[in-house]
Amino acid sequence: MLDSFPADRALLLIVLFPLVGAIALGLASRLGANRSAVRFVAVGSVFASFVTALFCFAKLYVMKDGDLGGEAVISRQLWEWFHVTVPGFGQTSVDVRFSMDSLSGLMTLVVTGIGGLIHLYALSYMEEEDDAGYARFFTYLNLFTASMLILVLASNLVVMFVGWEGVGLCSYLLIGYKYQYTKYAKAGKKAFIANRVGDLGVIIGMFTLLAATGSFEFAEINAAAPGLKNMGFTFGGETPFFSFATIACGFLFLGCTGKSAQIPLYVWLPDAMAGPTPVSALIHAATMVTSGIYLCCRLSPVFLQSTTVMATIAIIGSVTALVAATIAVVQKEMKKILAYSTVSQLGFMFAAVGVGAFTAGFFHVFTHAFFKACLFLGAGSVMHAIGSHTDANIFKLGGLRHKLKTTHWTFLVSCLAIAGTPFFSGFFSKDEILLGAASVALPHLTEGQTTEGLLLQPWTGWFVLITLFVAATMTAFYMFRMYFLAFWGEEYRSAHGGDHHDQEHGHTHNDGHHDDHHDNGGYEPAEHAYAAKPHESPVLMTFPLQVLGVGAVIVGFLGLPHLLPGGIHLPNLWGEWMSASIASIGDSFPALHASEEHMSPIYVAMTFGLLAWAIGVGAAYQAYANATIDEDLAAKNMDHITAKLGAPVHTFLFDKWRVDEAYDFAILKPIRGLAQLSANIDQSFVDTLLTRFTAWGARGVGWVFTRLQTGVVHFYGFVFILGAAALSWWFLYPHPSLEVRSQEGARVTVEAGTGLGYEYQFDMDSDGQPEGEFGSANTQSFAYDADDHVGFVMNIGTLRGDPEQIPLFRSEQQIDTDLLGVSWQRELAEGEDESALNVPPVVWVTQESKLAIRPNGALVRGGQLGDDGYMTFAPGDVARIGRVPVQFHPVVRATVEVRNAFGHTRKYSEEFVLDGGSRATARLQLTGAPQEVAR
Amino acid sequence: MDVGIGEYLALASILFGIGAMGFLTRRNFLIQLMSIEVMLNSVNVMLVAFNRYQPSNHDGQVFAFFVIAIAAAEAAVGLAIVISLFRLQKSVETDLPSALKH
Repeated sequence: MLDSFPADRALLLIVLFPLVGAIALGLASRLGANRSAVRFVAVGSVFASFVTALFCFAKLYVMKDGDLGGEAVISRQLWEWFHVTVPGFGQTSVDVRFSMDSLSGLMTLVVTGIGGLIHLYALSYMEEEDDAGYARFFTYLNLFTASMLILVLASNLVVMFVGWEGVGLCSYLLIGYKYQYTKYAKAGKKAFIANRVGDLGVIIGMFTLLAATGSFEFAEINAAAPGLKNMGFTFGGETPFFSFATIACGFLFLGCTGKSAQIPLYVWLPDAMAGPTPVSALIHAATMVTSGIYLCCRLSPVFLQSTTVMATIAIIGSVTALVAATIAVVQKEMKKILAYSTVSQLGFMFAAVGVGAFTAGFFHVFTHAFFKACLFLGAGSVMHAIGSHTDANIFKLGGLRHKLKTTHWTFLVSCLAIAGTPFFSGFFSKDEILLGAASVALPHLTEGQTTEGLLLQPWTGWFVLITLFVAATMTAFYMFRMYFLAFWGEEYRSAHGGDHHDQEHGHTHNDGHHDDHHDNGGYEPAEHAYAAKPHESPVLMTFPLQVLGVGAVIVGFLGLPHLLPGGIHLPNLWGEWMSASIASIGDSFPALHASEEHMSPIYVAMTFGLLAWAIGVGAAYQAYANATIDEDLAAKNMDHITAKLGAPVHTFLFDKWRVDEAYDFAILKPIRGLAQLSANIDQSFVDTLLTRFTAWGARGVGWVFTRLQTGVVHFYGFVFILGAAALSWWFLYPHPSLEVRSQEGARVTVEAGTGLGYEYQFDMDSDGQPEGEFGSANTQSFAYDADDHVGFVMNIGTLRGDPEQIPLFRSEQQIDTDLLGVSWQRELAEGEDESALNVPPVVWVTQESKLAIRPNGALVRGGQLGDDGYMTFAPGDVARIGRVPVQFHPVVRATVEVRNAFGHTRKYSEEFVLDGGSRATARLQLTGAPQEVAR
Repeated sequence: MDVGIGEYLALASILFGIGAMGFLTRRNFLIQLMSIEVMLNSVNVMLVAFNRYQPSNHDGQVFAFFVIAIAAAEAAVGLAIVISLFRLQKSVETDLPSALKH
């Protein structure tokens, strides 16, 4: 049956089901529809998508033909979207294409499977909403699913980016689902803006990869990846200072820090918990926030080319894991704790990616999706039970294990999983991450690693290993702190806890009205007193909890350690599945490296993992299992353990390292300052100088012209008659003008100004007699002969720049020696005295229209020396007096005579130097016409 | 007598001059309106005269009709203004009104 299954066409269906569902639900929310129809479409579309995805994934398995590590891809091109021309690669088409391999296949199953369960849960959780809001919620949720599937199934970066932006949009819409409250709307905006910063990085990374590989397709980029290491900006060195791999991966990772909430852009995720709990579970725990890790895995061969970026990712990931864990330890609200826990776990995944254990990181994505979704839904179930809309304060809870039995056991197994309890899913995935770090830390003990040419230095591995160990210990501690405080203890502390006003929100009040959301000016919803008798949630909510709880226990067995002490080999399905899709150090799963001789990394990783679990859970049991809450400390957001940190440290951690304030100071304040500055400039410069002064100018001109408005009709009439007379004159007589358009050698083209009904007659040859008849052509070309001139000029090149031009006459004239510069004199001849040299040369025009120079005391070169002691030059010849060149040109006069329709004619003459094409600047207008030339 | 374009243009010019002079020198609004009519009609004479030398089309004659239509409209508006003016100040002397001055 699977053989004939058209998997490539089914890929489209996977995306289309939720997309069509979203459109239908969107219409329903506008037009109104039966609530059960909304329920059916919302959940049905996602489950239909899940089933299709299951078939496709099974088909992948069949295609691999028993070899789990084999390469199998289902791919379907829908249409060519557009094409781009890349320098050096020619035209590249960008297709709308979906493809599924093991990596995207498993991610698709997570998105649709866990997404479907969360949809199911949300049916009941959102029951209190009105019909339009209910449909709107599921519109967004389905649209999110569709976008996430586009992101996951995209075969190239561009289509992936569509999904990437789509999930960002849906995240914004869902966080701000209750947009009537400023708090939620603000949280949505914060998420959106932080993501935009990251998205800029993704775009830059995308285009860097396009420029370097000529393609947006993942497969082609990955194939070209090895070359990226040695391409890039060298800054004159041998090897690139910034390789393309570093630039592209660096910017892509910036995008990942935005989407997957890593330092420095993680601040939005805790605030995003303002959204309804199913949203937190689906988007901000299980799927969207892991898309950064997905992207890194997708492009793993490229990331492996950049040591710098890998080390950065490893360090940022592990530091994020630690920082978020320290914040989570002191929080008091369940969703807050889970939010920081998510940031911390995402840090674990990135640390894995950074040390090259992509497969381990993605394995943690998978297991985390189960237990974190289960935890969030469990928190939602608790909130439902106590009738809270905002969050559940663990200081006010207690003893819930007796009342919420199903919620309790699913929450417990998920806590065990995330804490890394042996044989629960989190244990295996965390172990693989630590193993990846240990492999880097102990390169000589790891097969496939050589001490030369290490990708990462061992200290990176040690840093990651130690940091993650501390973070994992704290994870176990804070998860069980929450678990014990909420579910253990003798009593449900609502009774006296309810009296305490929340310190964080000074004006919160307990009004006791369940449905009255709008009683505090829309700023934020009132915190209600918790219900006196908590009750278990309906089956629609507990069923997904149970499925996820079971998943949290068992999915870890997909990624069993390949080798256990004592030489026991276990099948590691996960590593084999992923080996074709994800590259890693040594081109396979870290766990596969271990050989019987080289067991140390595994020992190290397991020791750290088990120690972290034992210390964390043990400490939490000691501290909180039978704890009573001190009301005074609880009022200060502390319990008896966290109070020991001291108030300053506690406040620092509780306020999440004051990073929001730091951003406020470092980014927002300068921006506000800039805005203030711009406003001032706008007021002083634009409004005053530009606007007001312009207005004054206009008013002044207006004042002048209003004087003309005398109100005397006869004055207007007089002006009118004057104007009529002026127009009559204009049309009665022609207005000739002439311009030289081009000079090529002796050939000159002139153009006369045009007018209504004009006819033209040209006299080009300077003799005052027109050459032709009147005609309509207003341009004229003419080749000048030696005789066609009205005078001569000499250009004396100066050493400084533009040549000087002097008129020439038939009579002799001396050249001004200032024009000749220094050293124009010749050598002293024999028998001459010094004074002979100070006589400047004399020039005149001969009867043959040649230039004559009598050198006198000057050194003159070029030309022909005549018998009578002077030199002659033809027009255009270049002579030199001393060092300056001189040239001799005729001046010609072109005349146009224009006749208009009334028969009136007028002439216009233009004199210009005929430079014979020897100079580039044509149209040298002669000023001061040489009228004295004797002819 | 052979009447050519020159005679027509002379007639038009004389008419236009009479109109212009009348418009400039008289103070009675009604007389000024009549002067404007004379100027417009001088233009009509010229247009029709020119059209004689362009027998292939009738642009000049068509244009003359437009001028006549506009002159009629102008007369209607002008007379309305005259009546309003008279109601306002019991006179149609055009150098008296000054309310619209700056």
